[in-house]
Amino acid sequence: MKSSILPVLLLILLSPALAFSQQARFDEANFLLSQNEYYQALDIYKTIASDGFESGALWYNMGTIYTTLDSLGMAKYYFLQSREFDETKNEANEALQYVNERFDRRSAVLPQLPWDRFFNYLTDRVGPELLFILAFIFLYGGSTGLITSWFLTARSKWIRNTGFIMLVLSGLLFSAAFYTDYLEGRYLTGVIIVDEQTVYQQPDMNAAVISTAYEGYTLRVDAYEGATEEDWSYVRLENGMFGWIRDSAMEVF
Amino acid sequence: MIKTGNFISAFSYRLLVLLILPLLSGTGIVYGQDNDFTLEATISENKIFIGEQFTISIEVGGSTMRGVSLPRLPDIQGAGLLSSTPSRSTSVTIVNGRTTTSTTYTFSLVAREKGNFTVPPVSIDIDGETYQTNPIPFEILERSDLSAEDGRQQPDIFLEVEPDVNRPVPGQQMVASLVLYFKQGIEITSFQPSSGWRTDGFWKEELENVRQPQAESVILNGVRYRRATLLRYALFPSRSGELTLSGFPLNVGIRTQPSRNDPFGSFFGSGGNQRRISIESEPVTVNVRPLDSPDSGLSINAVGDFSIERRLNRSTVETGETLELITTIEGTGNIPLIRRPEYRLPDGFDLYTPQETTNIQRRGLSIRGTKTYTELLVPRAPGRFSIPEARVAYYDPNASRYRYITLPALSFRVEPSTGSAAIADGGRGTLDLQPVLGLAVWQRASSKSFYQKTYFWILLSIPVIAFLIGLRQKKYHGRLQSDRSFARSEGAYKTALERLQSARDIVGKDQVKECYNLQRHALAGFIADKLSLPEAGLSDKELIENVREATGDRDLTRSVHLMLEKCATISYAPIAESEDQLADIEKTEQILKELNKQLRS
Repeated sequence: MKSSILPVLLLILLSPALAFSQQARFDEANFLLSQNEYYQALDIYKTIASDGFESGALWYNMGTIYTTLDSLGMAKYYFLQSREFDETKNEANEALQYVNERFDRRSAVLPQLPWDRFFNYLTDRVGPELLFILAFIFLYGGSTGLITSWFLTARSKWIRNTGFIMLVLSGLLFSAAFYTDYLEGRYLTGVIIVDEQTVYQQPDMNAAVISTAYEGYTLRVDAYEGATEEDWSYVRLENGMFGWIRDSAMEVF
Repeated sequence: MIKTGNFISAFSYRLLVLLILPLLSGTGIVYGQDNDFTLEATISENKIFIGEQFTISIEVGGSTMRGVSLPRLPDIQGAGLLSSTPSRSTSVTIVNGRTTTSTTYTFSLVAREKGNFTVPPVSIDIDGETYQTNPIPFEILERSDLSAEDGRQQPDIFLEVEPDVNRPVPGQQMVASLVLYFKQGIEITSFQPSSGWRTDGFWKEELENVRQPQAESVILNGVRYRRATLLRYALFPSRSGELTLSGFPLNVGIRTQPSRNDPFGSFFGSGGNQRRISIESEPVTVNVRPLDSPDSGLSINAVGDFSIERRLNRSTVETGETLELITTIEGTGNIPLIRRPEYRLPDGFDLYTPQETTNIQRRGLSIRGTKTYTELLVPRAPGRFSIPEARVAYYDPNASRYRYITLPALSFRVEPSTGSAAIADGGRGTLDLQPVLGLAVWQRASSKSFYQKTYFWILLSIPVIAFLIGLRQKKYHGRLQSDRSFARSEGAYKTALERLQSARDIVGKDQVKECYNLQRHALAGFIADKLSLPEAGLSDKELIENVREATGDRDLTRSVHLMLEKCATISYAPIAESEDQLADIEKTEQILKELNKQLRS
């Protein structure tokens, strides 16, 4: 027990120092960026990310560098991540629009089914964490109401019904949260970072060709389906086609 | 091969230096420095059968000789001189107004004795000075020793392709010589290779051959043949395994009027019994050994002996300008088959198709040359860059191992292009992307799902536990209300303690009987409530009996018995002191505790 408490205490004590360390490195990279030392700045940004820290500003600045270096696939990859953060959402959307306009080829986009759209909305905008928290709130409220109704005589029926409704809502929220979490774990977003890449029917270079993905194409990567194949991923193109693609051709988040 | 004897005289150092040249080249020509002449001794065969004739020729050539004596041929062991006077032939050539006279003295001999012998130095006087040739070794054979070597009857003229390496590795150069064998009495007037020689699995390069093939005498299966190398090809196997060189087709012009001394002397001649024949060599199988990849370094498929250099055409460049990375590979080996080294280049460059130039020299027996790769890099962003050090491997077939050349790192600087500070893109709009500076909001990237965290399960278990407790309490309360016996049993101890407290309260108030009555009431009531007995009308004996049955504890039963008996008989006892009353209350309380404990289970 003692052995597990000590690292936790140390982590709590050192957390501000660690965060400061990220900020200091971030500032240093920003300075290099202002001096047009793009690669050195990029190296520092990548170090911060590899240490497990992330922020909208970090992804946005990396996207900015890649835009300058004309690696638009990589730029899109970072801007898409930056868009997930409130503080850089607007700038990232603007940059994404700009980057998308510069791609020579753009994919046809098949509209999503309402069901998919609903869960994508839950995944992207709400997230499983918030759904879990809401589910817990309803669970606690419903449990309290139901238990209270057992011992109170006054308004016990109203309290019991309210508690029951809250428990039902809690169950629905838990289901949505688990499903959203499953979707998040199974489906990732990939961005093509090479000029062009062939999409195959099977994870084999000699297999039939399904399509060609060009730099900047956004893919839905099925992590479960592709887990069995090394260096290959099973993807769904924006036009609704499925196929296998080399891992080296894309970045995934 | 023609064996030659060299001129020997102990004259000047300078002359000796000049002698080295013919020795190395094998021509056997001796140059007289002061007198501007050459002296050459040759033997027609160096392997001769007993009874066979052969000749020894002494050739003196020059432009300023005035007096040349007849050569004096000493006795030659194993051979007999057919005529002491040599035949003589003289030729005069005039080149650019310079006249050169060449006189050849030919002695005819016959082989008489089997063994290895030497033609001793031949003396000759030239302009009053005596010169000697070097000894020439030769061998006299008995025909019967060689006749049964193979048993195969060879044709009068045939062609063979003879590789110089038995088991090469892929990429290793081997020389395939096209060798023509023909019997004495056949003169080769011309030859012309036909198309159709297939060398599948090899890269082939024709070597620059000597203008005039030289014939030498060989004995095959006891038969004397002349052997001449007509053409040479450099072959480079491209894969391992058994590779086959198909038969080499050749058109040969022959004349069956033997000219013993110079079979190729009539290339431009005519007359005699001339005809043209087509011959083809036997296919040759070459077993190519597999070559392992190098343990480290860049593999460029180079086999031979090479030097490799790498450089940049400039150290500073502007964005959008072209930077050339030039790699030069020079040496002997499979130059045309070498691949471009794939360097690890920094990010942010547009790479264009590399330029490749090859310069091959085919002189001699090996392919030499230079291969140059020029990679075109166009930087997209300013900054300092470095092309990392690279280690390039090539295979040295002589040492049968890989050798490595380390190319040092190359650094260069890319300056911003003038007038390209903003991010602009033609007609597709511009955007001034400014980085986010200052404090950032940091968060830890977590790969764990919410439900995989400990606190999720703690949070989830709390309402479950609350439900279970609530249910239990609900059930308990319900039973208390519906089951009187259960309600009595649950409240028995509390009621007993309240009665004892009442007894305790009246201690010292001269109400001894009432005190003990309350104690009995507490004890009897507790037993009745706990054991669901009638609340009134039970005798002490019945109570004790029930306690004994319920607990099975004889000591406890006895204590209950004593206490009930004491409470019943207190009216006849002397007035008890307060301390005694309190002690009895304590004792009753202990009995109640013990009873409560035992009756609960």
